[in-house]
Amino acid sequence: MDTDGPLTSWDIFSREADIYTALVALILCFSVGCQRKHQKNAETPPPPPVITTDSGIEMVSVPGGWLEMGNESGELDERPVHRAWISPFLLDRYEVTQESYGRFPMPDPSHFKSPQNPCDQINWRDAAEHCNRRSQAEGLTPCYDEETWRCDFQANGYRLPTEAEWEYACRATTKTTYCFGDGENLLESHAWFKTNAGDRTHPVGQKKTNPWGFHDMHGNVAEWCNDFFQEDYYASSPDRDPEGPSQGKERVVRGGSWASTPNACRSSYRSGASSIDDTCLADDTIGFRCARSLLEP
Amino acid sequence: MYNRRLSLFLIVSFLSVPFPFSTLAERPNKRANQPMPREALDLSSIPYRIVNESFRETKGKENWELCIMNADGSNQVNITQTPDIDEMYPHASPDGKRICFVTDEWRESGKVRSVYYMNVDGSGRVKVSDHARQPCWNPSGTAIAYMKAEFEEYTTKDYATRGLFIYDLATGESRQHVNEDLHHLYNICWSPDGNWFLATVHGGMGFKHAILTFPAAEGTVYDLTRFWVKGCRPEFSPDGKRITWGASDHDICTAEIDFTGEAPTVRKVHTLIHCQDEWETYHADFSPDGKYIAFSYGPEAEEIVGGKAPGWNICVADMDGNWVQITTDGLQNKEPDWIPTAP
Repeated sequence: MDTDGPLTSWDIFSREADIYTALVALILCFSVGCQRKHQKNAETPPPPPVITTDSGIEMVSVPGGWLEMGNESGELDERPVHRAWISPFLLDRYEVTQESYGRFPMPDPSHFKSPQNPCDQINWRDAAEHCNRRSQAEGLTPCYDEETWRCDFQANGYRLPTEAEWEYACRATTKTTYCFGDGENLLESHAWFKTNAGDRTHPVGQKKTNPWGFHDMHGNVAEWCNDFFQEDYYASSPDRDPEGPSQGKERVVRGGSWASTPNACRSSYRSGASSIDDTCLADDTIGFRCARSLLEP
Repeated sequence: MYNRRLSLFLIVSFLSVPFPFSTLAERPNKRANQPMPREALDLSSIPYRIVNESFRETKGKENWELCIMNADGSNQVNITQTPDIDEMYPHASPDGKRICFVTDEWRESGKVRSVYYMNVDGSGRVKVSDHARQPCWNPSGTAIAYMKAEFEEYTTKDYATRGLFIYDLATGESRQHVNEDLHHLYNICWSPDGNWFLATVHGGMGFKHAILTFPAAEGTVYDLTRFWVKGCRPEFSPDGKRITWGASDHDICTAEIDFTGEAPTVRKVHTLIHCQDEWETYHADFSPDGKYIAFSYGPEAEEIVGGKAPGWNICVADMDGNWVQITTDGLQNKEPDWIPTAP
């Protein structure tokens, strides 16, 4: 374009056109870039807020929403896949540690002793009792009647999560096998399980979080839920805040443990355990985390 | 999943234990998984009595009381009659003259579990220690071993213990066992020669859950798991050569124990009682002549001391595995202990 002669009108037009082209290109790039960034944000919304309780425990404030619960290609008890509305609730970001459990005068039953390891070998009732002690320590109303061990979901204290709440929190809107996708190859970065745990528990929070910021949902210790376990419960489960069968001999345990195969670490994998109140039968693969209903004022 | 995994573990453990069963004939006896008719065993001639805890009405109020009866269940007497104090976990002294036990009492500070002893007729109650549990007698009846509570706050959890102490009846003083690390132990039992203890441990002393034996005067601890002694609540036979324990909610086992070698060994593990799945058996205790075992039996409930167990009764079995119920009122009858004397 360089020339030694005077500028013609064509030259001026040509230069202006270049400038306009460059400007349009810049605007387009900026626009597309913003659009992509916006699309990325739409795919992965920010995780829900984390609050710290009066006891100093971090809990994720889980928003209400619909859960596609179960897995049609999973075990029989994971079917049918069904929708359930889950009301907002709080759930511990980490499994209850031995240090945390030891804040109240209850003997630590853990096999793998270490303050930051999850409490293990705990029976369901002791986990529920811990919830009550934690409620009382914070001036909240305990959820569990210590005679019948029925849970009052309208009480504002701590309780074990329902099975549906647990799966909702684990999935964190994902519909994949694990909270990070379908492949087992990433499981080692998210969970302590049979392949990498070395036959024991590990300090909580060492592995990657799920999209909502929860640690160890797929491993370390499996976790007690409030529900009684019933294999065919999904066929009759209500579509709003399911609380499980009214009675049973086992309680639900969800999430993988240090002893689990990748299959048993799946988001939808279900199991039940019978060590509800018996010291002798307690299992060192089982721990828990606490939940709390977010009640409307 | 966990039950399946436990079952697999038990099968693998069974196959890997070095000959715990001496012959096939000694494998579990599944003859009677529920009580036989009362007349199947003649217990009327047994010259011993049984004391147990029972949740029953006294002076218009239901609470835990201690009752004594003949071996056939006849002539049952409530020896405590204290509607405001719960008495539980009775153990008769070797001469049959005294009973040690635990109480749950309300104080200004809250509920407290303590250890006491008294005469077999319920008179002469003496406190051994507050915040204590799981008492048992030494063979001469001059001392009571007990576990201190892990916390001053009340709990019924059986393994909430820290420190084994020996109370001298003559001086009223307690001294701690030489092994000060003993904790999370429950159901301690003193051997008839006075040299050993048996106990269950849960989540403590480096153990997951195990039946242990340890010397009365040394710090060593031996895990009996490798001999297929798994479960809880072990007891010695009167000659100290056998043990009995609960292998699960439904099984009571016996075995021979030998302390003559460098380390204790167990052989001839035998399932004496197996009850149906919806029911439970617990708290086995050898009769003074070693010919019978008394135990508690009832629908699924809380077997721990102070745990509610509606419908539970006391049973007696002979060593062939024949067993009958000797109480039928179902008033949460638990923790039977033989009294080696006639009325």
